[in-house]
Amino acid sequence: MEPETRVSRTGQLVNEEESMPVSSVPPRVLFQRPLKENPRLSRPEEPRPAEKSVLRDLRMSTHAKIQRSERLFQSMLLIGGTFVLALFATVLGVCLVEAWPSIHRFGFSFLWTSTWNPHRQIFGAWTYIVGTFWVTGIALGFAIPIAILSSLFLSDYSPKWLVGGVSTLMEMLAGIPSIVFGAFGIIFVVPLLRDHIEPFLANTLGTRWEFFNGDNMGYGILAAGLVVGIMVIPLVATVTRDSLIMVPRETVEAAYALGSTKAETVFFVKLPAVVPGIIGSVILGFGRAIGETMAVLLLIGNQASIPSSIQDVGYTISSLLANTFTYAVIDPLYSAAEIELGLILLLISLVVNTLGRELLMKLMGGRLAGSVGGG
Amino acid sequence: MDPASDTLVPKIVVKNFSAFYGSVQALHNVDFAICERKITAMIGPSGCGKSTFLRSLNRMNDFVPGFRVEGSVTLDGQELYAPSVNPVLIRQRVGMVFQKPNPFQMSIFENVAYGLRIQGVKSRSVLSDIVEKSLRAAALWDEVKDRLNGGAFSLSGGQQQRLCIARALAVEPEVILLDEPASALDPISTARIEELMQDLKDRYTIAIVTHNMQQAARVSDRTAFFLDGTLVEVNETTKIFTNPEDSRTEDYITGRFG
Ligand SMILES: Nc1ncnc2c1ncn2[C@@H]1O[C@H](COP(=O)(O)OP(=O)(O)O)[C@@H](O)[C@H]1O
Ligand SMILES: [Mg+2]
Repeated sequence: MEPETRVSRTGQLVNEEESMPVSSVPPRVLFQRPLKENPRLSRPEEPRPAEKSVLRDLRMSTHAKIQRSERLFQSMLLIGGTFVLALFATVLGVCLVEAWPSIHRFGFSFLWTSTWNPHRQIFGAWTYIVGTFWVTGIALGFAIPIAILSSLFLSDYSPKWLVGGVSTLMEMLAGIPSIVFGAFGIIFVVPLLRDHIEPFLANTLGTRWEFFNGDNMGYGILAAGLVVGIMVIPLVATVTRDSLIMVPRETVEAAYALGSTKAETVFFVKLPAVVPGIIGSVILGFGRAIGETMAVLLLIGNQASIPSSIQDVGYTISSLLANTFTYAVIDPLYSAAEIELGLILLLISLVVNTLGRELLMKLMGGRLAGSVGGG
Repeated sequence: MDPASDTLVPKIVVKNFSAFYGSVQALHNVDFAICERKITAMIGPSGCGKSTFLRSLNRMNDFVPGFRVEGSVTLDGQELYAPSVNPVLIRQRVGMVFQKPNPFQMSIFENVAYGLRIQGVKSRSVLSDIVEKSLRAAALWDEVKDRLNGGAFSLSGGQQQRLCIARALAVEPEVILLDEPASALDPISTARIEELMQDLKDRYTIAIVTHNMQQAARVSDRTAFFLDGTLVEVNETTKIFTNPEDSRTEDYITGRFG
């Protein structure tokens, strides 16, 4: 390259935004409107009287003063943090002590024993663990795809005027008490299942797989799972939609610039980019679903049997506690067993949370490293 | 420079082209040709319409609400803005590299393979071949060949930008548009990208927007100077930087404004 350039400008790295001579701007400028892009177009700074600097007076504020406010802040945080930890330790400690008779008596076999007989003083959690997982599984299996599809629709396909409305609706949905969802389940979902969906399932899939067959009662794990699913949808949908909106425009443009159609851009580029957000919201949704009590209690049928069909009734840990704990307290072993069930619920949530976090970390690993090393 | 470069074959021809964002006119009656196997640089002060112009060449502005154009842009004689033209097909022929490196949240391999996959290439061996070829062409292969399954965001900024170039090359476009591709990079990465453009010139038609005039002078064969949405002057780079015809061009390259 031999052209004699008469370029006398700044070096190649200077961005337009950065080319403003920052160092020559007096500190006072912090309280003025920012300079125009071209410094030459803006008015020259008037010389300022030296004694009238509020900032400089403020800066005289001593080291000690800063330290004092730092310490105050730290001790406030410490109090808050300690309180939360103490609370958690107390709850856990009380539960462990109260559950001890059951833990001591049944050991690990408590987990896989499916007898639950207060009269014979034999307690096992298996039936309720299975019921809990059925409801949670059906709820998430129903909620996740619908939530993802609806947020893709909202972020990329729906007309603008719909977005605000549906978003408000979602937030309202998330705030409705679960007993209302339970009632809705009884007056709407149960009849719908009983009269239409369950007979349909029985006549189609049910002719080949017993799993879809049943007595078409409406109540059961399917009803409970679907209604809990409805409660989980807003959680997953809101987070997914927010992450979709936050996918950088540059990423989307890159997809289009490679000749992607809109559908390809949405499914192959935007969706993978929001997987971490979806996983996070699914963990939240799992927590909500596994602990849901009132709606499940109204819909699942409350029968201590292990479901063999999607139409069967069942029982979950939380609905059992809600139904029977008032009777259980008078019997030490009975109440110990119920509290141990509660601890199992806590343990499951803890494990799922931890696994989810691990997965997130693994997925986010590259991105985090990138934000440090990129430049 | 190289003597054969005198034969100019127009690849993209722009005639009496105006562009509007709503009621604001960003480009005024631009007449311009981007020639085959040449590097055309576009310079001009910030906001003069360089990006608008570049993005009009592969219809990336279609996504801006209220954007519309007048006049004509043809690629090998085919009108880009004809109603019957599908912009997706245009963008497969006219690739683009952006100012900020914008890899996908995928592995290095999948980033480069993406464009091929959506065009229906399924064979793993074909994909591997093209991915390697593209990464080599983008001068990135040696740095990433042992970590193709690693995340794209673990690369440095300069590497990410070369990955984006490899990704654009993989779909075998005829024209590559670069919008200030080095402005976010350090000097060494910038130099690598400039070298890379020289290598690519034999096979591709390249248009680059830059606000760095030294870069335009170093890499390009032809330079166009834009000002306030009009094309002031376009000519051989040597001519623009030594003996421009328009006084405004001279003012700009000597740093008298901008
Ligand atoms: N999306 C947009 N909507 C409205 N105006 C825009 C948009 N993009 C650019 N413009 C305007 O068009 C003019 C040219 O912008 P641009 O092409 O980005 O300039 P350059 O790339 O040369 O800095 C500017 O005045 C800018 O404000
Ligand atoms: Mg620009």
